[in-house]
Formats: sequence, C-alpha cells, structure tokens
Amino acid sequence: MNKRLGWILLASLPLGACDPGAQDPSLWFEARTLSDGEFANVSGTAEKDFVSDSFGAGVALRDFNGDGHLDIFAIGGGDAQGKANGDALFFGDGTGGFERAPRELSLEATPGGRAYGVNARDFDGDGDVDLYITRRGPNRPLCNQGDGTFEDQSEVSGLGDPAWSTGAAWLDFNGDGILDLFVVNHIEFDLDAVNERGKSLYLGQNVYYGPTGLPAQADHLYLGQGDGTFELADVGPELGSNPHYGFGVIVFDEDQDGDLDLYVANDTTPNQLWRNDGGAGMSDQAARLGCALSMEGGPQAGMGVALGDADGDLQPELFITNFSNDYFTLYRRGEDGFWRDRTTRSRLHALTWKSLGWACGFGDLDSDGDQDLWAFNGHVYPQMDAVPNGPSYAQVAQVFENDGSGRFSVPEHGGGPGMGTPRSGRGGAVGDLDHDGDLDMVMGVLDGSPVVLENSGRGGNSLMVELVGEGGNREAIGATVEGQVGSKIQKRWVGSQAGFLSSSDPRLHFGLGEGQQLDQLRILWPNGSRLDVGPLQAGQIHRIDQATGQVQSEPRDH
Amino acid sequence: MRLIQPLFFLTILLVACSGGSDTEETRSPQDRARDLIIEAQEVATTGNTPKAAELLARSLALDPDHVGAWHSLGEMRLLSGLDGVFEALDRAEAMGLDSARFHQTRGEAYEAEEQDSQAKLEFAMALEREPFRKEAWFRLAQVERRLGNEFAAAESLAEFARIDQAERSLMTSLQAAEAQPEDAMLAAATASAHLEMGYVEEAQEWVDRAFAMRNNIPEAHMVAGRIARLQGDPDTALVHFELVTSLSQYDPRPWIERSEMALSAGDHQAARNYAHQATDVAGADPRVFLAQARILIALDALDDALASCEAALMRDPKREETLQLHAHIWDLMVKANEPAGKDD
Repeated sequence: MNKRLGWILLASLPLGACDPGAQDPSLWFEARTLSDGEFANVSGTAEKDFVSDSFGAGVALRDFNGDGHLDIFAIGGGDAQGKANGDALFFGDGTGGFERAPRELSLEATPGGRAYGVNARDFDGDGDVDLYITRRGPNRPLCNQGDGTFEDQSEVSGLGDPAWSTGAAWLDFNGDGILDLFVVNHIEFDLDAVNERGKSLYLGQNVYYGPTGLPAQADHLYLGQGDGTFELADVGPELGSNPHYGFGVIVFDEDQDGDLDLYVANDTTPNQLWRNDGGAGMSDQAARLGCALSMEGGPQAGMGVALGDADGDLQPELFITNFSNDYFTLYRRGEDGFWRDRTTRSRLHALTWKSLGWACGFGDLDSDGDQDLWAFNGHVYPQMDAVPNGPSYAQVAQVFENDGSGRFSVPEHGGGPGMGTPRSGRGGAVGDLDHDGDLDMVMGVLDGSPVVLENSGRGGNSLMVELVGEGGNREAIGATVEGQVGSKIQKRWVGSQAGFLSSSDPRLHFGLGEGQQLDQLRILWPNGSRLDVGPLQAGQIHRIDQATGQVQSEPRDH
Repeated sequence: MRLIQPLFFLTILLVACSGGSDTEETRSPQDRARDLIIEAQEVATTGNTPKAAELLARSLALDPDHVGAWHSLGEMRLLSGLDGVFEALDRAEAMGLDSARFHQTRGEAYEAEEQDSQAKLEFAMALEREPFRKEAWFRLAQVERRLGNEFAAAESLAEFARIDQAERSLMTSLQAAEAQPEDAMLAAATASAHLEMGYVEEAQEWVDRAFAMRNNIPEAHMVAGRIARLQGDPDTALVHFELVTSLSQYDPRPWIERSEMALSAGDHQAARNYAHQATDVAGADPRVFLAQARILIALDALDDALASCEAALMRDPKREETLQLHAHIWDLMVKANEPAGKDD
C-alpha cells in the first residue's frame, strides 16, 4: 500500500557553476519536490479569479507518528466555491526520505470549507502532536491517536470557528495551566458579492477583487476549560470592534510581565500587538509602540511574521513579510518598550523590495551562532507576468545571512539552487529532517507539491533542545531560553506558530560554530519558574523536563 | 512607497543640465556624472538602493558639486543600511541644501542611530519648511512618543492623519470634479480639499469656479473665508464666515474660525463667546468640543478647557487626540498650581 517516494531532484539546476563542494558555502540549500504523483495543492483557478485562490498551502513539520523523525503535513487547497481538497501526511525516515502515509491514515477533505493553514502542537497534552486546521468554513481540531491517525474534535471541542481563518496560535492566555487558542480571521467572503464587484486593476492588469473593499472578520480567543472543550473568551470590546485582514500570528511575553501577548500580521491593514492584561483582557498597542505601520505611517500587507534576536542583544525583533514594491519589515524592541523600524539599518530594505513574501523565519541556518532569516515568496497575481519589467508571479525564495550584528546579506549564490528556483511559495516550516544537525526547510507551494529544501551548507556545530512543559502546556509554549557559550548568549522564544499558516519543529536549535558545547542554558518556563542546566554537548538532542528538572541527552541521529 | 520619490528632485536638477550625446572621450565629467545619476534613479526605483548609492558615489567623483546627488547618496546609503550617511548629508548641507526633504532624511538618519532628540529637531525643521509633509509628522510622532511627550505625539499623529485623509479626499474630489465639471458643489469640495493640503492657489482657482456657477454654496464661502484669513484679510474672511452661517446655521466651523480670529486680535471675550457658539450649533460633534478646548487653553481658561475636553470624551470616549489633550490640560493645571521655583 505504501508507495516509497524517491526524491525528485529538480533537474537542470545550475550546479556546475557553483558547486557547493568547490565553493564550500555555509548556506546552501538543494530542493526536492515531494510528490507521490497524486497530491498537490490546488488553489482555485490558474488565473486566480478570487482572493481566496491566492494563498494557502500551509505546512507542518513535526513527528506525528512518534518514531523520532520529522514528518510533513501539507494543506491541499480547494476553490472559491468551497470545494476542499484532501490534505496529505508524509512520514519521514530520518534520512531525508519521505513516504505518503497509508491511505487509511490520510485526512480526507470534509465538507464545509477549504483549508488554508495548520498549527501542529500537542494541544491535548497527551504527548503526541495534534493538528488545528484553519479553513474558510469551520476549522478542524484533530487529536492525534498516537500513531499519526487523527480524531476530529470539531463537534465536541467548540473550536470550529466558522469564519475564514488563517493563522492560529496556542497559548496559556490566562495562566491557568490549560492551553487556549487564538484564531486569526481574514475576510467575510461572499462569492456572489465578490462577483458583483468585478475585477480590480493593478499595473494595468485585471486582477481579483479584494481584500480591500471586503469586510474583515474579527479574530477570536478560545479559552480551554480543561476537559477538552473551549469557550469563546470575552477579553473586552477591542478584539471584535476593529477587525483586520489577519494572517500570521506569534505569541510571546512582549512586555515581560509574565503573561503571553500576541502579534498579528494583517494584510493591507495595520498590524496588531495584543497585550495581555493578566488574562483579564487585551488591548492593541501596536500603533502606540511603533510596530503597526511602515516607516512612513502606512499599513503594509503583512503576511507572515517571525520572532527572534537578530542582533544578539537579547531583545526581540519582529520580521514581517509584505507585498512587492515594499519592504519586509524588521522591528526591534528597545529597552524603553518601544519598537523601532530597523529595516534599513539591517540592510533588509533593498534585499526585500521586489519580493512578495509569505512564510518567514529566524533560524541559525549556518549554525554559526547568530540568527539568519528566510522568506518564501510568490506574487498573488499571475497577470504580473504580462507586465513589462513587472514583478514575476513565481518568485525565488530568499535566505539572508546575519553578520552577527543584525545586518543581513544575501549569501553567495543566493543560498544555493534550492532557493533560486522561482515558485509560488506560501507556507513554510523548519526543522532538521535528516538528523545532520542543521536546519532544513519545507515550502508549501500554491498549485504545486511541497518542496523540501535540504540544508547542505558548511555549517558549524549545533545542538537541539526539546522542552517538556508541565500539565496541559506540554510543549512549554511561552518559555524563553538563553544559551551561553563563553560570553555570548543566544536567546530563543518558544512559540506556537510562526511564519505563515504553518508549524515548524518547536525544538530549539543552537548553532555553536566551532564550539563543542553550550556552557549553560537558562530556561524561563511559562509559569515563571526557572531552570539552569549545562553544559550541553554539541551533536545531541537535549530533552529537558520541567517537572523533574532532568536533562536527557541523546545523539541527534538516535 | 518610499522609493518612488528619492531621486525626484534630482530629476528636476537634471532637466536643467541635460545636454546632447557625444562620444565618451569628448563628453564632460558633468555629462558622465549626469548619466550615472539617471542610472541611479532607474536602479533606485527597482529597490536596489545599494547599487544606486554606488552609482551616485561614482557620479560625485566626477562632479562633486552636485548638491542633489550628495543628498541622494545620503538617502540611498540610509535605505541600504550603509555607512557614510551623515558624511554625504553634511556635504549637501555645506553646499546650501536646506529643504524639507533634506531635514526629513537627516531626521531618519538620526532615528536609525537612536538619537531621538536630534531626529526631533530635524523633523521639526522639515515641517517648518513644508508643513504638509505627512511623513515628517508621522516620524515626529514616533520620536515624541519615545521621548515621553505623549501629548505632542498625539498632536503630530493627528496632523499626520488629517493630511493623510486630506490627500485621499483631494484625489477623490478631483476625480469627481473633473468628471462633472458643471457641478458647483464638487468644485467647492475640491477647493476645500486643496486648502486642506495647503495648496492655496489651487483652492482659490476651484473656489472661483464654484462661485462662477453658484454663489450660495456654504463650503465655497468657508474656503474663501479661510483663504482670506491666510492672506491676512480678516474683514473679507468675516464676510464669508457670516455667509456660511446664514446659509448653513448648524455648521460650527465659521464660529471656530471667528473664535480663532478674535483670539489673534486679542479679544478674549469674543473668542470665548464664538467658541461656545460653535458647540451650541453642533453639540453632538466631539471635534467641536475639542476645538473649543484648544481655544480655551489658549485663553488660559484651563477649568473650562477641561470641561470641553470631557464633553468631547463623552461623545467619543476612545479618541486618542482627546485623551491626550485631556491629560495635557491636567498637566497644565498641575504646573499652574505648582509653587514658583527657587533660585539655586
């Protein structure tokens, strides 16, 4: 029944001129298309007649069947009329090989809406990875049965948000030890009404109408009740009163007051920073604190969002992908609590101006001890290919190498042939697929099969840290971790979802360069307790249990 | 978008010095520098600002007296995160550049260096030279907030929002007025939109068009009165404002204008009376109470200003501008009640 998939190497890649062996680059990705000949994301019409056709293709990179290897879950898409394609699960073998899950384990499409995004976290706290699938139509919470099969909890959980949902993030909002869920919603989409509006004009081309001009839908927060059910939270009037076209979402304790806040990237409307008032309410502080708008005061087309420490000062930076002929924004939080637009200073302004970005993330892709950036790109309008000197519809993925001070550059050869092939990139996730210690990536492609981007660059030493939280928050969402090597400290935030409609492996990757160990790891758990451990050796996965304080270390290729 | 304009003024400079094409050997350094500037301009619009900076530097090596190129070099370096921003801007300043755009760029450069006090001064200078420069208002608001000046930040942000809205209104009304040139109301609205953006001459042209079609449009008289005020002709202004009131008795704006005129003239009682008249005719509009509060602050009637502000808040409890003004009045009241400082 199982059909073994061989990697389908993209032919005709210009390897000869820039052989990684000859150049020995530190950032080098090779692409492999993941296909069993059946599954591919299909999103509406080729012409993208509707805004609903223009994005989706979320992916998740987690170990769903508990065999110790990362697997891939990919969203199948659908059309504007509401037809939903089935999604696909590919089991990894730990060497970079994948096989489609047996048919009986596959997630068939269910009526009621097409899927866009996926959040893969252990939300029921039973030790395996569950799925929350966002759709235009009721969302689907799916509990893992431990072997990669899932039980649909839509009817009983109260999490079947009926709006057009995009991003979703788990967090313990009210500090009761039970995970809650923040659902980002997008547009109130009425096909007849949209049809009546006709087309929009962009760069002389007739393109789909929206989102501007269509009503936005408010985001929702659901509070876990501890029995597998959730209730819509009342967190004050602000959340529902001014809806935006939401996409990406991240959670972190922005104001360091002990509770988790949220940052939402919104399309063509201001981004929002929802500060949590101790679980009692929330208010949007983005405009006041300087992270809502571009440096000129206009809203951008926020798609994906990522959180990391770009300049090594232990303060967070936010990276947000936006539309073409605009820049991807890098905000830095100052110690005064205000966010500053650091895009020009980081040199990302020029590097991102032509791209229309979606999934993105921080990651030490060359394991040299600082946080690089990546972004998957692709225009929303196929009609752009007809515009002379216009942006192309398919676009190359990008990786930006950090020089250690928070200034970025495109690495030699653009990061390898895997990055340089134009595609309709949308979703994206990161993890070590082949246990070689570096971070690989998976791209969800609109109207295509997922693409694995295998990291084969000359990277430094590294290690992984897996946090096991207490109670219902088993993946320690909201924890912060500082790893110290000598005098240098690297900081990580354990989030729930990052980038665009996708889920990465939440294990924390620390690049060590030539170093052989992390001298010390300081963990601030979500409940405020602290744990210091170390040293931790390179080349291993270190599993740290909050309840016992124990560290279990094993080789990464175990 | 940011890159549409960077080399805009260079284009103007280039028009003046454009010449014919010659062979590379016979062409002057200035001509070759000009070509590089043109190339930089093209490159900049594609977002490749580092390349544009490189081209500009090459151009300046050939023609170091090009003030606009020095400014653009600073701007391109700033956008690219390159060093040497201030060096380039200082060269431009030394050659006499003192435009709003120049100060905006230098303000942004100071911001990038996290020197907010210096940035504030630069944005203020940009706005002195170009009061409708909305980007400067936005940046000034960010800086003021980081400096702890919440009220100034709110005021700057309100001005940014007002200009932003005025820009949109201007585009809309221009399109509508051009589509329906016989519509006097649209002409008056277009005059008003121009005036909101500070385009006084254009506003006068459109108001003349409106009056040529009809002379009883309140909006046209409102614009005419405001133009007269700007031109230092209070008598004409007053005539127009009185006409607005006779044509549209519930319009508070002429009362606010008259109140401000009385304030300028030192007639405080009249200023107060006219401000109250404004709220009498439009008691539901929080913006009128806000305007009244500002006038009362100028009259040093802080208790009354606070009451007006609270009336505005009752009508729109979440308006940031009002909340900040409310806090500002409290600050003023506290300061007014502080004992005089001791000499050290």
